Amino acid sequence: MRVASFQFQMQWLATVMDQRAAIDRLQLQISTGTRILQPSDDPAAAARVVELGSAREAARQYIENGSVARERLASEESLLAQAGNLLQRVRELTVQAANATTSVDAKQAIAVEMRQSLQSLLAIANSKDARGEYVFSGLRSTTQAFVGNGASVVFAGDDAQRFVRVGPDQLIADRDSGEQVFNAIPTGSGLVVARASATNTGTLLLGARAVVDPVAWDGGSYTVQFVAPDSYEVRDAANALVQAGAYADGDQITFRGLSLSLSGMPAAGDSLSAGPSGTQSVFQTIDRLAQALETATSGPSAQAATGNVIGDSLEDLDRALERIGEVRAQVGGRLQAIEQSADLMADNSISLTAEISGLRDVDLAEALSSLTNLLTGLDASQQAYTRLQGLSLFNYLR
Amino acid sequence: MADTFGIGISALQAYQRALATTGHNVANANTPGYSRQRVLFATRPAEFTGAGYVGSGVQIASIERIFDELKASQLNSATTGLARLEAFAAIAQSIGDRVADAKSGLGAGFDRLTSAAEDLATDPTSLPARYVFVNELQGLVNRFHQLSAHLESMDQAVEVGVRNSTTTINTLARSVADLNERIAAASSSGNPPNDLLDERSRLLNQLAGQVGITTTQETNGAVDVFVGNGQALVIGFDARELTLARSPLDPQQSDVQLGGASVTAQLSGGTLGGLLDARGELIEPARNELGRLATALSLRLNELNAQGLDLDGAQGGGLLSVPVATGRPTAGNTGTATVAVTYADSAQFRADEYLLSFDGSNYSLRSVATGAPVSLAGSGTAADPFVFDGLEVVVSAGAAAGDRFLLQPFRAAAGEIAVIETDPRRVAAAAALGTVVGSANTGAVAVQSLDVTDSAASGFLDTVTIEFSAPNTYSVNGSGSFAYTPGSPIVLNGYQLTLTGAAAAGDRITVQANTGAVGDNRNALRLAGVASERILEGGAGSAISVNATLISRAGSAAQQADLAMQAQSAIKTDAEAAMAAVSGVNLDEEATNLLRYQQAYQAMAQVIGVADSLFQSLISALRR
Repeated sequence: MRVASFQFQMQWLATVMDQRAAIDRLQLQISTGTRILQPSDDPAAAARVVELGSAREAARQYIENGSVARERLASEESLLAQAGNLLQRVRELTVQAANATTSVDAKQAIAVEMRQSLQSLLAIANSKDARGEYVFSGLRSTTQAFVGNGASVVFAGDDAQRFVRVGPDQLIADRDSGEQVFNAIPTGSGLVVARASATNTGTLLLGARAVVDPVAWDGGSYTVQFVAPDSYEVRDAANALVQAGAYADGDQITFRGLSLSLSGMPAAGDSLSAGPSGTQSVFQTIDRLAQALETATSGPSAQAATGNVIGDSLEDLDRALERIGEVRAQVGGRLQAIEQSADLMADNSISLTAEISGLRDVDLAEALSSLTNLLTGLDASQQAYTRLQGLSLFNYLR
Repeated sequence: MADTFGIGISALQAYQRALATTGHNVANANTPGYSRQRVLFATRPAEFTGAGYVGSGVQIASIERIFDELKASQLNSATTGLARLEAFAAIAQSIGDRVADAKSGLGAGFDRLTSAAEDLATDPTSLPARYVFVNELQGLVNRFHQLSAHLESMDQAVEVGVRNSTTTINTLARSVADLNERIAAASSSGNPPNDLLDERSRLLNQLAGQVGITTTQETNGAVDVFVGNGQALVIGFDARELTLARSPLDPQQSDVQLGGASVTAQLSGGTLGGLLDARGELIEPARNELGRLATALSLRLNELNAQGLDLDGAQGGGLLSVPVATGRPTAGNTGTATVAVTYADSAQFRADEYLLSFDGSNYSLRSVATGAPVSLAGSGTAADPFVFDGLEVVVSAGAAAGDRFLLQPFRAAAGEIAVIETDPRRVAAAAALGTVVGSANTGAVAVQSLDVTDSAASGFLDTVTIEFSAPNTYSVNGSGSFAYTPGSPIVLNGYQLTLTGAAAAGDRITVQANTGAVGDNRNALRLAGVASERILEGGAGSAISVNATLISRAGSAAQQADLAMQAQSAIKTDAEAAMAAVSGVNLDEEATNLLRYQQAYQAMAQVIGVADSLFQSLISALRR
């Protein structure tokens, strides 16, 4: 085949230009560390990198959300611990006050400390977090959770939780409503509540109260009426007679599976009530107790009245302590879930980074060896050209 | 002896010309489009003598141009193909790189908006988090605007390219017609005007670079040039002009016409063909796809924000302005009807444009991209609009038979969306409605879910109390008596309430405006999910996945165009080599010819010398 001189040069030039372009590209890949300089270099990988980048960004966000939730839950947990300690102290004081040897003055002194504990507990329930939100007011997070004082404390928040996303399909509550923690605490045993009437004039003291036969207990409201100090009638909500019997000091009265241990002697007309547990705020419980101790007087019937309130309150305080324990356990569980999710997300993030790097990053060893090859090729091609160019016949026409 | 002189002189003249031709070849060794020339020697007619025929020397029969028409037309077609791909690939590359850019692309915008919404969800009362959300929303809108502006600038670049290309084509066509005339005149002597022919071949190759052409040779040496499906551009000594007019269908685009008739659809190949293909195959689909995404996203964001309450307890409003779908009568309509297009269902949207035609009694619709018919539901009136592909179209009265309407629902949408809510307090992070389970309830009835279906329904935020008169019967706001089935939704004012658990008589569930719950983040969580929510492709595609498809499509288009361009480039190089192998100047060959002709010239000079010495011998013999 004929080779035109011009074409020979142009073709050599085109080859060298291609080699230069390849070298330039490789050099750029090596210096930037990325294989995909333009998305069109590898469209599938480029699109995948964008998707994986989104997933990695989401994982980062979940970890961040988790750390915000963790910080909130940790501070809630410490508030709950303080509240638990306060309640424990109130309970100790109550036990102390229940001691028959505790004088009226000592009871009043105990009441003063209880009032202080009540204020501290209210302060805890109205705590704000680092971002200025009330911890226990539910979703009404800028509304003070509990307003009022003593028995008139009311919950102003709402009974709802806020959920924070810590994983693709994982929502974790970052707060608990004061309704659940402090406000709607079951009274009595949580199943049944029994109270001596506040207007009793005898020395009847209500002791242990328990459902001994859960099948027989129907959850109705009942009144135990002492028609005489040694005789009682049990009537239901419709005032129908359920049971009647004789009473002696230290007897247990059992009806519908509910057993009430009694001591002391009632006056005729004294009564007890029993029914399903309701709810009461922990503030009301302490307030009722403090009020009973503040107004305590000596004398057997007054002591019995105070003793009955103390007995009720010990039960109610136990329910409040249980509730706080439950919420603390839930918070702990959530903290653990956040931890697990954060670990998972961190692992995901690492594997996503590795995958992105595999798609996008240049293999330096391979790139450098290709560069060496290309440079050798270019050098050879240049040498060949200069040699061939010298071969013109015109060189010999002299 | 006189004969010998005659032979000598004829040869000297012939070899002088041969040497001149060789010199011409060497001189033009680097001239693009030059075809080497060759001297064809022929014997002069012999003289008859008694001894027979005696030769009378050499003459030049012709100076021939070494040229292969077939190879030239192969080169032209390779040039056409390469020029088309170069124009096409440049645009494909530009779109692909811009759409898929990790930093400035939409993907990063979605990620940032999602992060901002998540931050808002973890801290709904925080004004800074709200500011960031509004800013990121603006950031995402800016990304849409930048991409849209880039595509628009590509469209404009195509317009400019088309204009330049048609000007070049017209200039070249005139020059070819001009050369045809000169070649015809010069050929009348019987000898080919080699350099003029080279010049015309070069111009035809340039023309082929602008647009695909076919040529036919006339007997007088002129070449006729045709474009498209045989529309004549040059006939003999006359050139016709390509002109540009506004497209009757779409006034934003130029229509290439030849002799008053549109040839846009027929033209192919070359820079012009490449630009027109890029407009139809790359730019328009990308603009429509981007516009569809912007529209669906703005509709959904507005819908979600309206389903929540802002920081001040008011129902949220629109966050983004929703683009206005374009629909207009085409030029040449004789009726007065206009069309209005509205968005109905984003999941059904298709990134397309439509042509609505009226034949006097019926309307028909077809897709502009594929030309396929699209089935129409409805009658086109305001009460019963045409419904197709998630759009609703109302045509006003006054359409005449033959009228056509161009519907471009998404073409400009990505450039039109804008943030209309800049007050961070107005971002609706809280759910609009809250439920309260009655504190005196004795049953186990609980709220399973509350799903908003229409936040614009009347009484949406009104307090609604569901009270159970019996375990399986309830009333709404004290009226009515409905059967209660746990788990089946109760349809109320724009929402569905699903209750579970056994109810007891007297139980109450209240639904009320969630006012005051500023710490609520339920709606913010939904806003955070908007980019991954499957709101497109009939519920199969999210903004993120549609964007990924857009990226991989634009990227593969760029890659395909680039690969095709490399392949075509090799084809053109081969065609050039094949052409050069025939027509190119080889300097070694010319050097050999130079030596050959020089030697022949020198030898003929010797012949004249011998004739002269013979003559001198004769003269001196006679002088004695």
